[in-house]
Amino acid sequence: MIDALHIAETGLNTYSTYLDVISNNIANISTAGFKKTGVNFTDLVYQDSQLRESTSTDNTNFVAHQVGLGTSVSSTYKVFTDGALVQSNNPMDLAISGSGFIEVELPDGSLAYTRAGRLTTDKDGYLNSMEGYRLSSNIQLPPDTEGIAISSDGHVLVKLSGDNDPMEVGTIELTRFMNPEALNAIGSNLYLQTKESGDAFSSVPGENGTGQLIQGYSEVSNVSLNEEMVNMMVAQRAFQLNSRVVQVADQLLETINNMKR
Amino acid sequence: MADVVQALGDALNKDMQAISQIAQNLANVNTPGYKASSMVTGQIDFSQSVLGRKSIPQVNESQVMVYDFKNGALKQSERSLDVAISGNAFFKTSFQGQEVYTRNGSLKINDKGVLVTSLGFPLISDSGDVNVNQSTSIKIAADGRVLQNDTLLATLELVSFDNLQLVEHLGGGLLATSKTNVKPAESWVIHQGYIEASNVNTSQEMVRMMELSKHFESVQKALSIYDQALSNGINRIGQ
Repeated sequence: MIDALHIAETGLNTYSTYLDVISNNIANISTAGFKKTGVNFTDLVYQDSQLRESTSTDNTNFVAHQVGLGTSVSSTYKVFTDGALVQSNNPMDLAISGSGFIEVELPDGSLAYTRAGRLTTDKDGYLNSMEGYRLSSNIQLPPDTEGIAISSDGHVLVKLSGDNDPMEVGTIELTRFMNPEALNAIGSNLYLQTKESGDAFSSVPGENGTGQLIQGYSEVSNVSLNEEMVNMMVAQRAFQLNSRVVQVADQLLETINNMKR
Repeated sequence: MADVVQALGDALNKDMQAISQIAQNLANVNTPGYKASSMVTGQIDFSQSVLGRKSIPQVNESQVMVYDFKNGALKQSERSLDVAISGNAFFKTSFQGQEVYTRNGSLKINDKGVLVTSLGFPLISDSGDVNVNQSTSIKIAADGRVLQNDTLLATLELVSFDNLQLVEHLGGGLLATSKTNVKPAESWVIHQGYIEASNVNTSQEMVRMMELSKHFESVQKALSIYDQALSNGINRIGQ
């Protein structure tokens, strides 16, 4: 009937998705290790108008008479810029100063990756992530551990009671991806590898751009409130514009309906 | 007498198409690299009748779409793989074996380490696809050189078109045109860490929409009045 209605509808859908993404970012403004989500927009396929052939006789020319079918969200992606590091004075807090991830094992044996380096220990003394998934480097702290030190290149040293020299119990490795934006975020600060993210490269912290470990600090969310507020205004105004188009298209249809009274 | 009705009906159709075009622009007000287009309303020709007199007005069929290729505003972005072009130039990429062009510089690196557009089509440089070593980030210089650790990987080839209006829009920000219309671009600059916003001018579109809806109403009025005149002619005078 009238394309404008449907085109504006794609606009409304797209900008409400955009608002969803923005609200998720704002909701997670104080989630440690949270990475904000960005949105890519794209224009949809163009349909040729019926006037296409009539305007050209030269077949090397394309005739520029096409009406597009609207817009859509082409992809969403995680923005992996570093969040600010905040001192926590908790020796179990690890911040990563580069683009590496800590590898953890999920209950079903598969691997996941996290940026939230707030470590805990389980009942057997193994180092776990904040949500209680065991680190795949399998580091067990002895029961009589008094202090723990983690070096910037991942060596975990413990001080046992009655012992003066620290003992090394393992190394935390960091993992890096070719295309981290394509990682599948499954919530709880965990990411899964996908085909698009490329292979996981594990290395000693500090090498291959994985970044160093910083003990006693935690990484806060990289959401910027200013940016989200500006994005929200853009999304809201774009939504309004499209709803205005719906109104105008509706008026046109009304005019047609009133043509013959 | 049907000719007037026909001409007015055509005018209504043209208005509807133009409104669709405005809807498309407004829906894409936030799409990076999107270029606005507008429909130039067909002019009214007075065609010669058989008797050589000026007669029935007809809406000219050759209504055309005009694309506005002026640069959109450059927005700073946090992604190092966002690149924007200032100047009249387009990135060259390939889609199903066909060479296509885009202004949308939200680049990414795919699982094979190749530099691709946001929809995943490889960018074409002087040495084909750009293969990136995964370990360090890349730098894209203002002149299109792609550098990693100060080593030159490739130079992006940017193109422009002899006639910007003879370009087909494929959706997804992709443009296609005939080979003969393509030439190497002159005078452009690539800005890394920026993204080109859509060049839709919302106030202009709103004004145009108001114009069109009022025009639509006037045409409808004209149609009603003409219809009434016919009705009078047929039903009253004939009595």
